[in-house]
Amino acid sequence: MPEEISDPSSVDFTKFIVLQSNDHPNPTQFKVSREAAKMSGLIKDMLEDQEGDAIIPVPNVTGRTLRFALDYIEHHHNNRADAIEKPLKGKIEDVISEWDKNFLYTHLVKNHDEKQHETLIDVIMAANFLNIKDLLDLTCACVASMIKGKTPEQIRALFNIENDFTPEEEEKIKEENRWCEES
Amino acid sequence: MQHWYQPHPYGVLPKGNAMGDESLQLCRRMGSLYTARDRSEADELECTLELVSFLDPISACRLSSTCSAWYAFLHVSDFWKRLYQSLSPERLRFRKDWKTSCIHAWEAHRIQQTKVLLQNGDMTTGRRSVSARAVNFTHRPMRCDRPIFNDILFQSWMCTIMPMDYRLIKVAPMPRKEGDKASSSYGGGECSSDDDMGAGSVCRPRHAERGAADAPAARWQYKSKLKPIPRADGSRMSPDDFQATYERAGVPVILTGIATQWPIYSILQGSFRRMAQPELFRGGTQDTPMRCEHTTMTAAEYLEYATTQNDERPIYLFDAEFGDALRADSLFTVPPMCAVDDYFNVMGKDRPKYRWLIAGPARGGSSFHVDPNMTHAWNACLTGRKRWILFPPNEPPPGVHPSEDMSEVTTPVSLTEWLMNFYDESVAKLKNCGYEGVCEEGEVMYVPAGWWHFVVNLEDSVALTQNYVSRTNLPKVIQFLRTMKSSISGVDEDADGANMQMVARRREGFAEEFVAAMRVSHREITKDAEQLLEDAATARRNKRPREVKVEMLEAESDGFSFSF
Repeated sequence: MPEEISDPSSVDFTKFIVLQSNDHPNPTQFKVSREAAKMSGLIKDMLEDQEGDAIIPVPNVTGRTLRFALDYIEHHHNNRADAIEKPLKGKIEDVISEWDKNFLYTHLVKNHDEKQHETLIDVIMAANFLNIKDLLDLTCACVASMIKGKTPEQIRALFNIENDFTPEEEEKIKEENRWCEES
Repeated sequence: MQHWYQPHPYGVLPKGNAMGDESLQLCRRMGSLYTARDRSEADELECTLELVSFLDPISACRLSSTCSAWYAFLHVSDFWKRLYQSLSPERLRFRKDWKTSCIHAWEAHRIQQTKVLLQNGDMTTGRRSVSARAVNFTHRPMRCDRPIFNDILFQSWMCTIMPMDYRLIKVAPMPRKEGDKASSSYGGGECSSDDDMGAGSVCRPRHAERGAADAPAARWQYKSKLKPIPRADGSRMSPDDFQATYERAGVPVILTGIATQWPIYSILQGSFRRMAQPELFRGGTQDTPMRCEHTTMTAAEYLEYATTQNDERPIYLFDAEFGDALRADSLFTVPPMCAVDDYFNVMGKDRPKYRWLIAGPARGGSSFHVDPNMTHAWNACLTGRKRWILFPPNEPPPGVHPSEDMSEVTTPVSLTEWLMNFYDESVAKLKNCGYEGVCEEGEVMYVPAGWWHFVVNLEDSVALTQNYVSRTNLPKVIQFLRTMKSSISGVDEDADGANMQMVARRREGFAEEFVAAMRVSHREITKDAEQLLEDAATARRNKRPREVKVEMLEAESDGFSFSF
């Protein structure tokens, strides 16, 4: 797990950097190896542009979310996951590693309960912001897997989507999508 | 309201129309899949596109049936276009719109799988029932009662319908030509067959430069606030005159009386639709896939795409290998004034890529760039009309930001976006040195080496273009090849599966490879060019540039300079 620190002055900045979350007033600071941090396209570009001590504030991302992103990075920077094919064919469980399955279905989708996906969406935002492509792919493929095989009604229920179509509109769309249901 | 305005086919309105009600914003109506709290609209859209990037067509159709926001987002964004690229990265068979194309590709894939499963079973029934799903599919854009509020999606629609003669001044209608083939040159762009006409179902904008077949749009003669591009009769001009007046002086020019003599011009008869005509091809090569940006299409497939699509940035056919499929040698001859030197010729088949067949629908084109390797270029417009805007070397216009080594240019992706946001500023700043004009069917545009240029098709257009080195730019080309190695272009750097190490090695030795071949074929001229470069280098070292007579480059006001 990512190492949380309270005193950045003890960090060896030749090997590590410190990422700081946006929680106010008490941001969380994590120590990350430079090597691993480069999995984030954003951090990689920043490190190329600046020398010396690096305490990098990460706007938009809370400590809780940042911890998950760094957990992924530390596990995978020496051990890249296989690319997931687009579009996702079948369910995501069939194409990812055991570690990734645990990663997704412990906290991100809490206790493997699809309804509890708030953290998953937070991590997608963070992965997008930090430009961690593999993590973004894993989490977005997870969303696709959750949608797959569900009816529009089930999708609405799962993601709290309000049906705001008029009856005529709904009928038109149903007609157009008839092809999905024929086999 | 502008006369060309048409309401968005999916009912998208500018953000301001929501009267500040945040809950009406597109991404806030997507339930708990709302991903981009506190970020810009652009980030929101991009992140949402990522979120759905693993969906298959069936899941996407179901998600789009959940609410008006998901319905609009999935149809208005690049979602289906991107999905198609995942489904079929190397070949595009476009059908009506991107959604329909995806569903066809997905079904084709399923048939393939069914075949494998049914290896020894009854194939015929399986095949028919599976593909019928796709065949019977028709997408009809729908404007929901509850509108969508989003500035970026709205602007992108504006860029799709705004006429491409934006800010040109209409002078008079074009005189009709003898035996005008109006029906073939402007007509037909709309629909490829009767059943595509589905009353109002196709949201193809019907703007002026792409009139419907029954009502050809007026062609206008224009003038510009920039300097007009001069026109000259190319059939009466000697290569010496051309080199002195245009190449050396760095003046763009439109040459008449050349391409109108070419067989390809007669075969096309001014009609974009004739680009798949068999006479153009060697025997049996009509089905050769041609390079169209990231994908490939045959000429017939491209024609289908170009005349059906409604993209903000239409995919361009830009093929350097067209000589393999087309009967290139008997279709055209290089304009004599550009053929006289053509020094890359000395490298034989190892010369960098140098000629391209270009086809593109109205509003297709190229945003501001400088041509590769400091070459001159000619571009023959064979059907349709092209609007050209040019600025001198070292004067990239507003909105265009070259990287230090000139290997990359940052500029709005959409041509219309540049016109809308930067045209006026460019005129204000550069009206004394910039040129603008319309290259008509059968005319050849000459672009001097190093010039910034922007081209947009006012009508569906087929063109041929070639880049070349002559005695007038030889020193600049050699200098470029020696000092800008990583920017050398046309050496297979963008080929499929390009080996970057091999490309790097080729670039490393490229200048000397060229100069060595030049020394054999054109000893004196090469010697002069090298001497000139040496003198210029000495002068720069001594910081006394004006004392060296740089005869070959005298037209440049500031002597011999490379500012990149």
